[in-house]
Amino acid sequence: MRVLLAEDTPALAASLVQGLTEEGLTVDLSRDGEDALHQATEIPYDAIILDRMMPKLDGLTVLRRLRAQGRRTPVLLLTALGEVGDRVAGLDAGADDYLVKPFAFAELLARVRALLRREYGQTTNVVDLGPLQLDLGARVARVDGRPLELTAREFALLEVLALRPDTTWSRTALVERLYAEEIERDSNVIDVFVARLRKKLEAAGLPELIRTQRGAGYRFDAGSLGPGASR
Amino acid sequence: MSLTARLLLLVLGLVALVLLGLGLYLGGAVAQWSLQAQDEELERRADAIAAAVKVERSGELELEDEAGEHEGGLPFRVETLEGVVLFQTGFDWPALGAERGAVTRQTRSGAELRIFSRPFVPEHAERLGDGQRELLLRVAAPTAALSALATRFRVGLAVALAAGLLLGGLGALVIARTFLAPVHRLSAEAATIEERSLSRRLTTVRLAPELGRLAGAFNAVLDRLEAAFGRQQQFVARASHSLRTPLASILAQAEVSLRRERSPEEYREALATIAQAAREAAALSTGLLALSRADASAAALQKEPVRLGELVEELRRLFGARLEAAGVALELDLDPSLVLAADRARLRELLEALLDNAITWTPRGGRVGVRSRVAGPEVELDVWDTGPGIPAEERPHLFERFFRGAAAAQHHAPGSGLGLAIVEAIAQAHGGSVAVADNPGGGAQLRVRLPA
Repeated sequence: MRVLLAEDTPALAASLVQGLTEEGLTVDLSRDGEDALHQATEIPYDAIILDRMMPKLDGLTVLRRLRAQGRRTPVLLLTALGEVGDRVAGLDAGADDYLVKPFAFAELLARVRALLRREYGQTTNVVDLGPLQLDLGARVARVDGRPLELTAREFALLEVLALRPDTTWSRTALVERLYAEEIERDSNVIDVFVARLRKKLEAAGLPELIRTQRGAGYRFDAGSLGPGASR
Repeated sequence: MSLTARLLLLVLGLVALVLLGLGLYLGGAVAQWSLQAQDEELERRADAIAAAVKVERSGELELEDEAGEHEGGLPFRVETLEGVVLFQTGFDWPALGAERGAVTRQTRSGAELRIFSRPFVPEHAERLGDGQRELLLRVAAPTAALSALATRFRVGLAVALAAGLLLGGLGALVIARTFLAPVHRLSAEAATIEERSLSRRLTTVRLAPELGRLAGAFNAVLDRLEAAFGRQQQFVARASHSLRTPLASILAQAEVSLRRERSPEEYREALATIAQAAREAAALSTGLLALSRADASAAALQKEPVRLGELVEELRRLFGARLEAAGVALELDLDPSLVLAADRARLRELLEALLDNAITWTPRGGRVGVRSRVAGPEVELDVWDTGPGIPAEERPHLFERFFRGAAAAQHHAPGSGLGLAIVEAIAQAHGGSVAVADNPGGGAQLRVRLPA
């Protein structure tokens, strides 16, 4: 899952990037409105955390322009203004949620997860795919109730694939989901991760879950999990 | 006394005064006119009777006319000039002397009479003998009819007075109500205007020009009040926003750090971040406090003679470490004898804010300075630096609360955006001002003018 954080206060931005990254999210940071708008236009984020007061372009303007471009990316607006009128203005501009500074990090995380779930049509943090269960909040995968030992990156990969079953992901698209912009991209890294993930799934009794589409990329094969697994 | 009561009293007094004056004048006039009319009537009778009196050969008097007319008419008598009555109609005559013309007399029974006396020469006067030719004719009429008329007039006057007062009072009430209705409406409208509804205005349509001006003036006061209130609200919102930002940083860093075990190095970094944000919050609260102190009325200033040189020396010590760390030199050019009547603590805050600002924007190796100059009744205090200066487009906003220049926003320079606002508030409280200019040697120069 890749999110954009647009926040101009350096200390706050750094803490949030650290916290969100540690929770398995891929986070890009924008320090002003213009950059946020540019990034949000260039990259298909799963969610955007947008500070309301930013240099160059304020958060509301960024939000309105995004919506005017027809982008439906879920947006969580952060603001230090807590008045009712400000909340209404934010929601009217097309924000999906609204958080007033200062906020508890746990609450920010819960709300971001809620936005991501909604984006992927999930109602709870636990994704049930028959023998395979993914707890998106606790970042734990289980096969027949037994926890699967996965690294954060492996879990993130499995999450992306499992939430869009039977969708073919190109390596580039997967890299985009899993790596922030600053990190040098090498789509071969995906092959490495997929290979490790497959090995672990196979060991747990779930072979053939991730299929290779020759020349196209990878696909999560929900059918291989049995009839009860398709959502 | 209410305006209505005053108007009522005024109208009633005027009505009473006018009616009484008119009544007195008319009463007098009517009495005089009716007397005149009666006198004329008496004279006419006298003429008629005089023309009808003949002297018989016997020397007796005879009325040529039909006697009935005279007997049924007014009583009269004829006498010699000496007072010997020759003829009289039966009547209770009062005692009369040599009166001529019209007089008023009372009879013995107390009735009032108007008596007209005139001498006349009767027909065949020569038959009177004794050489006398003239006789005296007296015609009388009771004045009872006249006094009845006067009484009726007085009653009528009293009724008119009462009616006048009643009508006048009612009229005054109606007028008062009509005139005061817009005033009542305005005060009812004004009563609904509260802190939360300062955008309401009095309706000025269909008002008399005088009231329109009053309502307009009131609305203008509301305009100013609303603007001031809006600025205050905006300031509170900005202050709260500015305080929330470092608090959000502190909370986020603390919570993220606590989510899992960290290395001592990571804890150290997190605590440094938290400390920095806490310092920002603390600086901001100090600034807000200084600003609210400076905003307090000028009367709250504790003015005393302040030797400027001493104060700046104090600041040189205070900023010593910081100047050294920033690699910036401080140059003082002060008149050592200069004494200002100022609040020492506030003036110190003012200089602190200016120096803080100057040092912040001066690159390593640069200089900042304080210069003083007496200019007529004022003292000019220049705080200058060799920093990048202040762009022309930012100068109009420089003293606004929470205003931060583009450079400060871009580089996340420390500062709350309150320093220069505090400087301006303190200068103004002292009856002075502050303005921005270019330092002749490059960089910015802020000039504070204070009354000496």
